[in-house]
Amino acid sequence: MNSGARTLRRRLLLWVSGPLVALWIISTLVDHGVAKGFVNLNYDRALLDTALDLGRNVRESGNRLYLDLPQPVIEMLISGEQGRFYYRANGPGGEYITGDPDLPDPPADTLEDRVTYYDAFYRNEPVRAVSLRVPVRPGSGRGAILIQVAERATLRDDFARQIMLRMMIPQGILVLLSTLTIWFGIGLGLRALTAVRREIENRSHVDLSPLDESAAPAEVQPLVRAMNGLLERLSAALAAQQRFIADAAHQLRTPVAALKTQAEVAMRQVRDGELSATLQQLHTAADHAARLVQQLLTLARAEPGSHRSVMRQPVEISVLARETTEEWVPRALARKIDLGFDDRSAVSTVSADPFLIREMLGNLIDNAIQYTPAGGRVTVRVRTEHGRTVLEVEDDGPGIPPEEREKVFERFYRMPGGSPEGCGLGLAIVREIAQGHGATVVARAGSGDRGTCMTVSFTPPA
Amino acid sequence: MRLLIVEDHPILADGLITALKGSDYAVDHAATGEQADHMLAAQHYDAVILDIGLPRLDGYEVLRRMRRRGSKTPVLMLTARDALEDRVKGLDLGADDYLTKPYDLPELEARVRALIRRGQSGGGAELAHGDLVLDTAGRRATIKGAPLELSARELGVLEVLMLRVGRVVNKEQLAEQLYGWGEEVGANAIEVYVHRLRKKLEPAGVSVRTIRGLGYLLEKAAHD
Repeated sequence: MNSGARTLRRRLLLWVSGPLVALWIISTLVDHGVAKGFVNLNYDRALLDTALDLGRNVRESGNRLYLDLPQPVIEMLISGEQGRFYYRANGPGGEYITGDPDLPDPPADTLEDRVTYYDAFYRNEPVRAVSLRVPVRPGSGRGAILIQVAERATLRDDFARQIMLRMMIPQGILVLLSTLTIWFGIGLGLRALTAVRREIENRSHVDLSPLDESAAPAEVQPLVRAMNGLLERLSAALAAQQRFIADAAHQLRTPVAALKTQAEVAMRQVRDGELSATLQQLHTAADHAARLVQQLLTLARAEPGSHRSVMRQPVEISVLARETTEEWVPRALARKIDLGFDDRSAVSTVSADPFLIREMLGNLIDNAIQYTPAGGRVTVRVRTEHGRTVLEVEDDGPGIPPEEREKVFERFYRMPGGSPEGCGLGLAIVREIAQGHGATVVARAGSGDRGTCMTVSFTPPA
Repeated sequence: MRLLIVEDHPILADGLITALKGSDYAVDHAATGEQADHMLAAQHYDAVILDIGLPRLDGYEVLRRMRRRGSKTPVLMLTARDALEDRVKGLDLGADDYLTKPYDLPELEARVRALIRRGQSGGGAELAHGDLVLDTAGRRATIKGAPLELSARELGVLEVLMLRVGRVVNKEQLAEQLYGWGEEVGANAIEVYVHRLRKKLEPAGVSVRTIRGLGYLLEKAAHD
């Protein structure tokens, strides 16, 4: 899978883990609120308790109000978990009794309430405070004493934050684990797709048969079906194209035959040397056209989608090679080339299309004859190597430079300085046919590092 | 010798007619299957060159009707198709030989000669190759009219080679031919016969070439 592309796995992961992270953040905020509520409730109660204790101990002596508690007790009362509380007691008329004199007053609109909690600012810090009104003497109508107790707000914020953090970390781990699980889960789920991918990858380019739909998971089956539909249309289009090439080649054969025959007849009738040479060239050109037509036809047959590509039968390569070589001997002799045959095979039966193997070997021989100078030797050899049948055509011509040896199998490729007679299709056809038969073909130097040896290796029968 | 050429492509037909007339055959031409059918029913031919792809009545049908009438005239089928099934179909219907377009004219002429010879077999025929003449009925060979001393087996080898001039004759084919003359013949024996024959033909400028790993070939005479 291409890592640069937006993979299905990444996309699914994003769609699942994105909301998970959002939920985690929301849940953390909610947790914080809840924690703060509980912390406030507890801390407020502690403040109130202190305020009540203080209020209970305000005494009246004459007109003077005072806090009737020894200093150590006061210290104990106002000590919180993290530092001391601030406090102040004021009389009914607002007169200062005891405590921190500059503690801010409670909000004005809460003057009538018995207990009021409020937030304020004291000594450059936010504080949480409670105000409590205690009657000087119940039922006396003398008004109420105002007790205020305050505490640094940061304490509770810290505490609430700690609670929040302790909830947030395990939740975060949960999100992480879910993400990992999803990542691997998707990977496992996609393995079914990998199987389909492998099936496509391992195919030869001539195999356009449908993929096995039943092996794919239900979600992927429509995809496989669509792919099969495409393969079918491709197959039909290829078959139509090949039919066209085959028909065209067939149609061309008769006019080319006419051209060749007329050129030959004219050559016999003409005694004029110059005209005779022209006719000879005409005849040669007609020969090339004939060969090209034949090669196009072979190519159309060797390609995928052609009905020919399935016409396999057991073929004795040594017999077929021998017959084909015999057919080429007259043409080789005409070019003063010693064409021979060498059978060193043990068993050479291969499942093949005999027509195409004959064409393949014909092209190899034709090629060798064309590129070997007069007086040269061309040998067709069949041998057995590690159970494989190997068909070779070796010549002692100029050879092919190592860097050209792969290129010669390309369509319409012509070697620099090569014979002008070839059309550059012969070896392309050879490779096409070899591949169609699961065979390999390579060009290498001939024996003694001279000339060229074209080697076709068939796969051993299964 | 009278030949019928059945071919609908006018230029190809014209070329064939000119070429074969040049070889001293009497040549008739039919451009359609129906015309060919009529001509074959009315006239005796020594050989027929029959194209398969004809309009309306195709070559197969012409051949079928011809054989139904009991005609034994040898037929060389010409076709623009070379699929194996087509070839088999033609031969099954009674064609004697088969050539795929485009062919080499000398090849076609050689096949026609071979067909005519086969049509006359039993009567015996003379095979000529340059100055060398082989009388297959009289079992005699001459060079420029002078008799050539050949054993029966050497004559057998020569006959096979002359019947397939310019084409490879393998040792199996030679052994098969010689088998008719007596006991089975080994590959070594064949080499000996060919060696002797070669020596006797040398003065006439006729050469029997050895084709590596395949067999022998009687080379076309220089002025043939």
